[in-house]
Amino acid sequence: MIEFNQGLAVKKYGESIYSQIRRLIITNPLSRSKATSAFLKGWKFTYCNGNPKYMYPGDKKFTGDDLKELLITQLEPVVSSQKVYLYGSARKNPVCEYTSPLKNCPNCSKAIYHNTLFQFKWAKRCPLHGEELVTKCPECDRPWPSLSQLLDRDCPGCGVRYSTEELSANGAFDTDEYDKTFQPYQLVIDGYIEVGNVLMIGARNYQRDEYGSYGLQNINSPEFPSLVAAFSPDAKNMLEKVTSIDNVYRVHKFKHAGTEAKFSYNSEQQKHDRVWAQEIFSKVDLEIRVLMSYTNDAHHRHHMLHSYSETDCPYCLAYSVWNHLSRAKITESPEEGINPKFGKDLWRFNDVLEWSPEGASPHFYLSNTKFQMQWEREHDRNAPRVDVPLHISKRIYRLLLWKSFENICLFLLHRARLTNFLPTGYTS
Amino acid sequence: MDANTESLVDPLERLSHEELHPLLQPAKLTISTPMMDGLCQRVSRWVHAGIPGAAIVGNPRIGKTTAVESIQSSFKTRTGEPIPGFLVNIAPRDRKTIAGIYKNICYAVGQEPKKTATADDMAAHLVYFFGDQAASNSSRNVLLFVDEFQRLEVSQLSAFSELFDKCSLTNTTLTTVFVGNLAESQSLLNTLENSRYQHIKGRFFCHLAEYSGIRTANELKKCLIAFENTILKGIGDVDSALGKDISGPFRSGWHLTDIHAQIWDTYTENFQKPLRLDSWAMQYFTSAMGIMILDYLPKYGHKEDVDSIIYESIKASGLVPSVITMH
Repeated sequence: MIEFNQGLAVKKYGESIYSQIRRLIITNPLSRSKATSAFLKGWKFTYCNGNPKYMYPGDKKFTGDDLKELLITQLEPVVSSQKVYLYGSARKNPVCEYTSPLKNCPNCSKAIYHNTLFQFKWAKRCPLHGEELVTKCPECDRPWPSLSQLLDRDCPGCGVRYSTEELSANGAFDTDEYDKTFQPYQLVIDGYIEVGNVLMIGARNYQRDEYGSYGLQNINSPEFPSLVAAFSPDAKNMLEKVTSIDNVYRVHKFKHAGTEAKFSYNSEQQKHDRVWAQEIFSKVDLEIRVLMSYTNDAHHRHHMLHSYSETDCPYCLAYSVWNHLSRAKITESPEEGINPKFGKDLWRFNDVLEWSPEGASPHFYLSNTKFQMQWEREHDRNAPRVDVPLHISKRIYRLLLWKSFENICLFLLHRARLTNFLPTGYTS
Repeated sequence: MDANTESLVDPLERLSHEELHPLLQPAKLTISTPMMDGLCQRVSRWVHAGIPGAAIVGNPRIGKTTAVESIQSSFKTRTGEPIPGFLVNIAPRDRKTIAGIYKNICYAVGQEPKKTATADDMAAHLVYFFGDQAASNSSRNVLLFVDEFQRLEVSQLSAFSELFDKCSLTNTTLTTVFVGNLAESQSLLNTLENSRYQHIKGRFFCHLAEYSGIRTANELKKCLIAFENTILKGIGDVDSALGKDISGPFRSGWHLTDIHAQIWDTYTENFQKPLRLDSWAMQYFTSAMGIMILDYLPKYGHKEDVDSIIYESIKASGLVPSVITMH
């Protein structure tokens, strides 16, 4: 097995692939090229003007046992923090490194650090040192070295030959400081991957993507920090360290804590609200329909939208609950608008999770309404059934019901995750 | 495979695949002794106290290296996280350099250096290596045992001093424990008394511990229990000739501890006092017990003239020639 140092003593939170490779070179003075080539062997590059533009998992990744072992035991822990960027397709995922000239903070560079955050167009300053992000090393006045130039660069500002004492003086081992500073930014970036659709749909320049739905606005957009800052004063304080915030965005405050905020932007508020809400409803609706289509029940195929209240099918039941929650008929014409209370009901979903105790038939309460499976109904007893004992079929139904709600809740949780780093206290 | 081809298999090859009984490999026979536990506790205290280094000395063949090999990976932090431990055996060289020490450590920890590697490169590489290893515990501790430290020149000790200093910069606590022979290391320890080497003595040689073999009847009893457990556990096929020989006396419920008083008396009266031994070195103890189990007990049994059997076993273990001085 190939052995090389990972340089964990200088590893810092959220470092970019560029930073990881530089770390490997510096912390493996006995096997610089071996460690670097072993690291890079697993990745495939596309180049732009001689510099790597995108990195993909390469075909060679699992060709040799040694390399496989190496990747699993050595590299996986190193790259895990960057997984979301590396494994995503560059076309679909706009968060990709090397799409623009390398920007870095001179002090961070001396401490063997570079964060993906620095590559965004809106990022102007280093949140830790307050230094302006630059494209050239101030020490040697040359552009920051590309991956291929790293091994030969001998500069106290951007090179790879540092003594332990120099690195210590540069603060390379003060990893806690970096972790503390950059972790919130990484959460914003990761959160964007999860909730980008919801977050960005209210922005000015949202666009239709090639799939015909309202898609992501690029996180690289100058509007991104302003939009995030509109949600939370904490986020605003955080992002102000990196860039200037435009205060054009507002969010409405709702009565209930945790209520989803809506964007209002000038005179187009109503339009945006409708689009935003419809986007959410469409997604959940689609989820349920897809689930319904997987089953073989006839009513799903022939009476897909009208039979949900007439059956014990868990998917139909889930759909009826969804309609109850949203109070919006997806099939209705858009001109009728959306009930403005949807937000409130949507976020009182916790009520749904008050399930019946073990042994009773599955049911739940929502807005003082009891939803229950009617096991003893006459037509159910007479209907042809697979010969499954009742207690087992109860469990199956219960499981299916759970599964239906899991899909709805999953979607809501994705959005709720936003509140993890954007606490309540919205400005009106 | 039919019977004919099976008989053609090289017996040596077949033997190499079989697990040999520990008694047939005396060099590899390791038992857990109370002295080992004591050493483990002592080193743990050093590590928990954040002491940069210490030394363990003892007479030759007493089992220092075996003890360190056994315990090197068993240390834990106060919170129960494992502390990585590495053992470096200092090789005798005609040119004793600092680079040679780094090279020695690099090979010992599995980081093969290039021929052209400088001392700086090797030192930096080792610092980051220890930094990686230290990540396994939140205290960021790493243990380095240096065996046969009496082979070191004083100047070479600076290498360990440099490693300790650089590791400290990376927030890693490297505890270096030197292990060596008592008599041979005296000159080195005396040299360190010179004020020029106070920085080395202060780091690594302020805490000394002596490791010894069996010194009391109680220690002997515990060693006999450990020895018996080890040899009985190593028997694969009890019905084989070897298995019968070894397990024979124990089948009737007899134990080595039944004769521990006789062993102790024989040892003290016939060997310890005449030869002025500080302790019973582990190599001679295991060897004596092995001879007794394999050669004497199967032949004479454990009921008659046990004292003679014990005496002859200890004598045959090599304890006596080892202390004869040549004139």
